[in-house]
Amino acid sequence: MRDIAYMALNTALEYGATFCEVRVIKSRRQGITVKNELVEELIDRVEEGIGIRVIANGSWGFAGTSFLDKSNIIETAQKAVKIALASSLTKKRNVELSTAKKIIATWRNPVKINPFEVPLDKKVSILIEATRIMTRVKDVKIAEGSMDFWETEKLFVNSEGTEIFQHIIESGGGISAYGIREGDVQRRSYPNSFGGQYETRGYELIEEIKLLDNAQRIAEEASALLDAPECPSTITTLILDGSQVALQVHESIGHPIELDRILGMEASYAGTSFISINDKGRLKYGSKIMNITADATLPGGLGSFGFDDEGIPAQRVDIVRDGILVGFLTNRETSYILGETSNGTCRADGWRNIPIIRMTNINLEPGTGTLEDLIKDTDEGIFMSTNKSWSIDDRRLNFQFGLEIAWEIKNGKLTRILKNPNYTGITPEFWGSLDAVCGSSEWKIWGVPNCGKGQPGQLAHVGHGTSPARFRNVRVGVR
Amino acid sequence: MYLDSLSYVIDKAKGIDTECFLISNRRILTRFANSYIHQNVSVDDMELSIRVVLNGKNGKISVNQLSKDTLDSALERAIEIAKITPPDPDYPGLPTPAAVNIERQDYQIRDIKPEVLAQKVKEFIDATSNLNASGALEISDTTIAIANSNGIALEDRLFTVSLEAVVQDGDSSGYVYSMEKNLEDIDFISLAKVASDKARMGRNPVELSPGYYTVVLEPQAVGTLVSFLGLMGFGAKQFAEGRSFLVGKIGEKITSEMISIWDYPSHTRAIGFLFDFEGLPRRDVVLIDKGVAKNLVYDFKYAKKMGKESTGNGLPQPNTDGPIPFNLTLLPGESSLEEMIASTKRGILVTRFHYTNIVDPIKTVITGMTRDGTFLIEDGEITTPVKNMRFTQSILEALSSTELIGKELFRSGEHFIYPTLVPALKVNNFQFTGVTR
Repeated sequence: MRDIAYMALNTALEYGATFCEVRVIKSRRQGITVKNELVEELIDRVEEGIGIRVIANGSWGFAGTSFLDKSNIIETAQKAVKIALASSLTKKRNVELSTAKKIIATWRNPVKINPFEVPLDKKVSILIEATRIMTRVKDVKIAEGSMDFWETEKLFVNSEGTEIFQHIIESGGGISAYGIREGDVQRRSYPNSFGGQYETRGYELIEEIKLLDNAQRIAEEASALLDAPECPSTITTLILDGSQVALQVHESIGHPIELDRILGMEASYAGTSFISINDKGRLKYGSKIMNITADATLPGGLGSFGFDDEGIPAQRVDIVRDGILVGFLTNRETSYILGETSNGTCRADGWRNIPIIRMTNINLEPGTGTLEDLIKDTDEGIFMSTNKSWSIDDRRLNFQFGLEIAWEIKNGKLTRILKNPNYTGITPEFWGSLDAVCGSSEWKIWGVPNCGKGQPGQLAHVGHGTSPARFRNVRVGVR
Repeated sequence: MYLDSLSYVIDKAKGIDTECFLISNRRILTRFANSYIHQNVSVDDMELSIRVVLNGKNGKISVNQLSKDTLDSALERAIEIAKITPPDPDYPGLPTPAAVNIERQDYQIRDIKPEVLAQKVKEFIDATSNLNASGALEISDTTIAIANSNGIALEDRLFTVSLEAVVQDGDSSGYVYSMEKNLEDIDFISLAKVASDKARMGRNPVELSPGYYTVVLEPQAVGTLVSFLGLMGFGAKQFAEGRSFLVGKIGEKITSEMISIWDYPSHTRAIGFLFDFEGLPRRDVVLIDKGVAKNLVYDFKYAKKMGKESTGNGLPQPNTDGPIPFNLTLLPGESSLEEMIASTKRGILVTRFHYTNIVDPIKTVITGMTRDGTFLIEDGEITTPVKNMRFTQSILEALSSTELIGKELFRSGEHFIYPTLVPALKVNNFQFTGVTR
């Protein structure tokens, strides 16, 4: 890997680059999906490639290839420089980067059980058994289970002398049951929807989440939803479970605080942000109990790493303190504009993409008490769990989320199940209505393995440490 | 050029059901924001999947190197995996060769230099007259090759150029999307003018109350509705599992009789490979004919399972999604956009939708926001720009309340396999459920 990396780096510099960074990546992914006791999809993908990003004549260029012979590496490095020179045709000013320390390092995330050493048939048999349990429940016509594992070896070098090798293993898994009857389809998932829970850990995660122990419960809930009344259309007190708070944080905080988005660099795709660069230290994002951090150092978080893809060490930074916006997610290019250094959130989807600002683990810091305490403390309202759909406008203000299941709260107790729950709101008003966050015992880092951004589209693995939270006067049951 | 590598694997696995699928792509994307190029990339990529099936048991490995050592070890590993996976009782065998009937499309495959793309972007930016231009100009040159042990051996190449751009003028914006087979077919200056004019028209938007409105949906907005409808029920697997809105509805009227939707790979403006990802020829399928639900789309497995022929809608096997339409086309009507606006007493003109997601797949309800140009129509004229609004709406109900259909087809930027071809629509009783700030 080193030979290839330095061949590319040296070629680009000789060809006219004033700055160059190279990532050589080898990766493996295994994905297993079982439906109704049958293996429906099995992905086992091994790949390698190189990504070369340069600055030449004050503009960016990038070229990548999976063809790793010497002539292709040289041609690709030269192409990166040619592309940068082409970019400079429209430049308004030279790209400037904030300073970064020269680093020589190796980083590996702690893993107890390497998932690629666990026999495939063991993984498959767990998923088959889980789907067997679920399909035995009345009206559960479809039961799914999946596991995903990634192993990434990444060498980063740049023209400032930094050389970092990282080895990262990630794991995830989950199950879903679909109750289907007379034109109604109701899904329940565990431990989360869209594939379950994901962490920067080994197979020990799969053992801890105990898929088999939860299969019966969620299947019964999927079945019960078919007979449940619709979530009423009203304005009420809303309690969200931790996994939905995670997605709420993701869409209405994580994306709007990306400084590239704030500066208009994502305008043509997912849009901009309601936040302006001058809002730091001023904008009231939410209520006084709202504290948000970006923390890439949390062990096990899906947004955790040793160094970002600009060679900046993982960090913990405050984003919202006591309800006031105090920070952004930055990289070397955007932090220079602020007169700061990068807070280390620049990552690329594999070797084939440029690094851009991505969420790390964006967390709602814990408050106090348990979910049980919070429900007891609520006279009337609705408790919603597990995301089903999401949508937010191009400035990250007006959102609407659908969930798999809800329970009515009456006099401090969960009562009947409600189907098709959803809620809508405007970001600062919604976070302004936050009046309780559960404590550390309920706090968990939820993994989101499919955060989309950029053109060409990139997927990032990010995390959100959250616990259940309560919001007042929320519009629910939009139909 | 890739079929040799695929044949090597097939020959090596002699006696075993084997399928190889290769996709190779050169993508060049010049991205701009704040009226300058801020990201500019070129990537050469390739992936080969080897699938073997032993007595119905699937094993599959994907690699991105083509050395003999890599192919040998990938084949060995695929066989190892197949040995330990449970058999699929519905395994239909591998498909056999079938004639490809659609004519090859007129791509002009060329190695376009980065400075040519940068110059085109500059033309676009300059033509926006100091407004804030953002977008992406993309060249995609993709080859797929597929071969199996039943004799399928096919290779095809697709070359497309696309421009997607947003032009901002303070608190408003305009949008354009164009995908063509040749760079010269994109008129950068005209597109810049369209987006700029709309951005200027949209300044100082007012807030409109949510509720039911007559809407004139420009083609990009219609593209969202049709593309999402395509995801929710035309596939044979979804239908067989009871997850399709078409369950119990085939042969019944489900939209206005003005509406006909096809999966239409032979359309002169369709873009896509000539065969599906199993190597079977793409075929035209009438999905909705004059409002009546007619047909589903099939891959090889679900065709066999349901006693039908494959329609050439197979994704790489095995997969969780099943077949889906690739070339959705809403057949055109006879109206112009101007006629739709002129015939509207009070309504809303929507340029496009943003961040749409499914709320209820059986009722085909989706939610999303308007974006990049939303205007109030009063007495047949566009009068006032309005703030972006959230819609929560059943697609089938919208297609049942359609009053006019545009006479010209456009390629939609929102699509899932290949571009959706859609006209503009005038729809009554379209539900908006919220407004943004």
